[in-house]
Amino acid sequence: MTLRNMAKIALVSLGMAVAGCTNNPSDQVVLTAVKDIADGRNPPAQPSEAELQQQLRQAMASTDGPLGLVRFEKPGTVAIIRVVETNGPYRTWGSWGLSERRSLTTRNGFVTATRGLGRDLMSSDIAGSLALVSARRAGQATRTQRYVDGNNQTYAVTATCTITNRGAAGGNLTLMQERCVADDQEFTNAYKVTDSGVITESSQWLGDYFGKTVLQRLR
Amino acid sequence: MSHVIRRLSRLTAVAILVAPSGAMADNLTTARTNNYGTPGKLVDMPTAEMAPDGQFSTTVTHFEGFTKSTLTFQILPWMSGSFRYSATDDLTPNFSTFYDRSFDLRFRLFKEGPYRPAVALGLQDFIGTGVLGGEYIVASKSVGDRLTVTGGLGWGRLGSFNSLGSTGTRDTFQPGDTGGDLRTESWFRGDLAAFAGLSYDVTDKLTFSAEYSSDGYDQEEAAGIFDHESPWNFGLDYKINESFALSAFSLHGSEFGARLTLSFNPKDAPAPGGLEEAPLPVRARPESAAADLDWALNDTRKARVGESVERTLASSDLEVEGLRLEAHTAHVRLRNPKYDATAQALGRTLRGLTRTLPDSVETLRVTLVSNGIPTSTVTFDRGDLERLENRAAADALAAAEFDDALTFADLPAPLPGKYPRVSWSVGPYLRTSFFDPDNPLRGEAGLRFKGEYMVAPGLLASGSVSVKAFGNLDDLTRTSNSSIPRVRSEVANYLATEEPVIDNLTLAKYARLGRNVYGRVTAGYLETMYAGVSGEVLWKPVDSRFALGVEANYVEPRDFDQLFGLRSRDTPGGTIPQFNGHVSAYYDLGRGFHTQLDAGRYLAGDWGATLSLDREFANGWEVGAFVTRTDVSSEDFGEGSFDKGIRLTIPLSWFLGKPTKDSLTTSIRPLTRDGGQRVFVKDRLYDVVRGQHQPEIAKSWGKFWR
Repeated sequence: MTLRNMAKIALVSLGMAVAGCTNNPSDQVVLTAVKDIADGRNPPAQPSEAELQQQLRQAMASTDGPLGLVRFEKPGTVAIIRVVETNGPYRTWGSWGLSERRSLTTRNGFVTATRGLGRDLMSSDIAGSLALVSARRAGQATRTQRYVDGNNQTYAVTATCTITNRGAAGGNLTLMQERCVADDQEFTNAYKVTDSGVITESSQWLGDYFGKTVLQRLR
Repeated sequence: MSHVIRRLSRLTAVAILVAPSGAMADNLTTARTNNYGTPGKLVDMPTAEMAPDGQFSTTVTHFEGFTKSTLTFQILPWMSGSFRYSATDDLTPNFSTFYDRSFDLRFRLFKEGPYRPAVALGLQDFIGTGVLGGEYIVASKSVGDRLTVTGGLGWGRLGSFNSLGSTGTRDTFQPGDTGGDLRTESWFRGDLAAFAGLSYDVTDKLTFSAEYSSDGYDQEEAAGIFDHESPWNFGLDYKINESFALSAFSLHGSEFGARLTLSFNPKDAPAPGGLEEAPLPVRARPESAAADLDWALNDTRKARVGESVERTLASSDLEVEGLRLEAHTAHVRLRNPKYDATAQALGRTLRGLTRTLPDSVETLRVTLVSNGIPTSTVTFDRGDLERLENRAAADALAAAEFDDALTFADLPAPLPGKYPRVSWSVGPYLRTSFFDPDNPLRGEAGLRFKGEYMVAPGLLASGSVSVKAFGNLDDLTRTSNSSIPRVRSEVANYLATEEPVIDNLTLAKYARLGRNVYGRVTAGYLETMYAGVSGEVLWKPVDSRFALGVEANYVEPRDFDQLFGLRSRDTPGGTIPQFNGHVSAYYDLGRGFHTQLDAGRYLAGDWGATLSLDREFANGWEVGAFVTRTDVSSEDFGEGSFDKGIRLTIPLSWFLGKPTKDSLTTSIRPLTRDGGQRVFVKDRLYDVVRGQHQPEIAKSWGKFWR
């Protein structure tokens, strides 16, 4: 039994003390969770590849704005995303066609934050890597990724990264690789960059929880 | 590529295991426990091992006729405390099963070095009746990465077999003793003996242990319930997963037994960072163009902005109670009914404001309201929010300004329609009593109706009615023999009723008496046993870790049926006085520790003081101990000598991974008697105010942008 499952069982028993019927938001959170567990509700099924293509066509037709596709390897989720807000060089993306509030923030194709995905990446300092990757230049840079731990404390994973140019990747694209070493972690990111320095596709490590995150810019 | 990385990380893992320093740190920190439930990998004997900081473990050990249940908490990396409840069949002629409660403390004096062992000192059953009492000094050393060897000297129980000598004399366990006092004069006194043992991790999950025990089980042998045939004990311990371990052991050549350990760490939440939905992002204003100011002069436009603020925050379950809009400043009076991390409520409120306020507004103020009264005001420069959204959370904390809400003469007044406000809930309840002298676990379940009616800001009518469905909480056979006013010991009469009871029904007024000063008056049926009036004043500056309070109460005991009637204050032990009260000092010591000192007059008219010390985790877990000494003598107090206990607060948000202010609090007292008892009053000021002040908010600031 994992800690997660234990927590669920404990919660059902503990939740009995507060669950029931209420108009108080704090109690409602508990009540809903207890009901979800009691119902054994699982996350909604992911769309098949055909369904995804269908949704993509719909999304492209329905908006002129930027669109992207994101896949998280470990949770095994995929989503079509659209820009919901822009702050300076940062873009925050939300799922297209879904009312769920989950988001992803990028800076020219580098994912700098996630929200509502579980074990969220809270913020990142990636200016050094970004400068090298978008200039398609090899070199060394430091990147920092911040998370919140189980005790609400911020912790940072600071990695030293080596950026290398892996050559042409078709069309006007260059494949750039970023190999990073942190204290107890190693990860590799890869980016396809246009001649003008725009990242169109990437595979990035946002934390062990996500596995590899593949981000594709559709428009 | 990835398989190369995987291989590399495996190599790193191997390197860490092989490196001596890494091995040491791992080997002498363990989530396993021994038969006494204290951290360590031996069977009955202690070691110098410690659990990871903050670790909780519950251990149940059983062999024929003997059961021990122990709750252990790693208070600091070098200190652990345990509370144990043991049941022994036929130990004394007085009881068929002898139930005993005991406390242990262990201190690591030295950490392990490359050649030096870790050394720990332990006090076992140091304030109980002493049946398990013993002290020890023990050294443990890891050899390689799988073997740990331990040797030590024990006194008391741990000095009872093959004694090497003796250091002074020791009081022996007397059945029927009231116990409860520190037996300092007996510590490290009497016969001493040596013990030793080793544990070997056969695999990552399986550990074998062997020990030479210095416990002669003398009392148990004398009672004819144990055969001590050999000093050797052997154990096999299997780690089922991160939380559970199961062990089997042989004891002194005559007994076989089993042990189950459940352990977890409050710092490791099931879902770190939370699973709740994403916040709304900051809306950054365009850099160009002078902002339009006309909106502030136009009441219709202003009202529309107000509605939009209210609606946007409501989508995050945050309630705008009041709003003052000016051309360059917006001030929100905010009620946060949901987010246990106040920083998160602030972060969501401020981002909501950036999305709804006209561009000319530069200064954002949020006044937090608790029980209807304004507590603190947090001020942000809107440009800072735009600039810091994608930076470390600490930068935003540095940019925030915290003030007492009364600093602002123009606090927004409550909007029409916000008061009166009703909130209610209906649900099952569970009430438990642990470790009663006659029954280790009693409880009852039923249905409870709770209602709150906030008549006006700070004026709160509230009540709770419950109906018992089933349970054995009232299954109390002991009658009170207290020789002081029976302020708590008539609990059996209160639990006996099968009819619906009024848990509490009060009218409370909360108020700001001045800068840094808060006031409360609560009148009505305060708790299940007392009705009356309670008044309190608290001094607590917004950025202070220190607070002072005064409380005075007038009480009358309630009828046993817990309806509207009162009963006579005369009890067989004396008359319950009408007045009691305390002066309280609160101090947040930092590093997760909090202390409180209450001095004054208790319910039975006894004078004294209560000292409590809690370890508080930012995520809401709290573990603490309290002790009360009053002028009631040990003889008059009865079994236990004075009031003491441990308490635990469990935040439900930790389990859920979603924000909620709901939590469960429980106290475990070895015994509840009549000395050192206070009246329970709901929502005392410190609890109402503290969470909205800078030091508490800052602790969970990691959730500001979440």
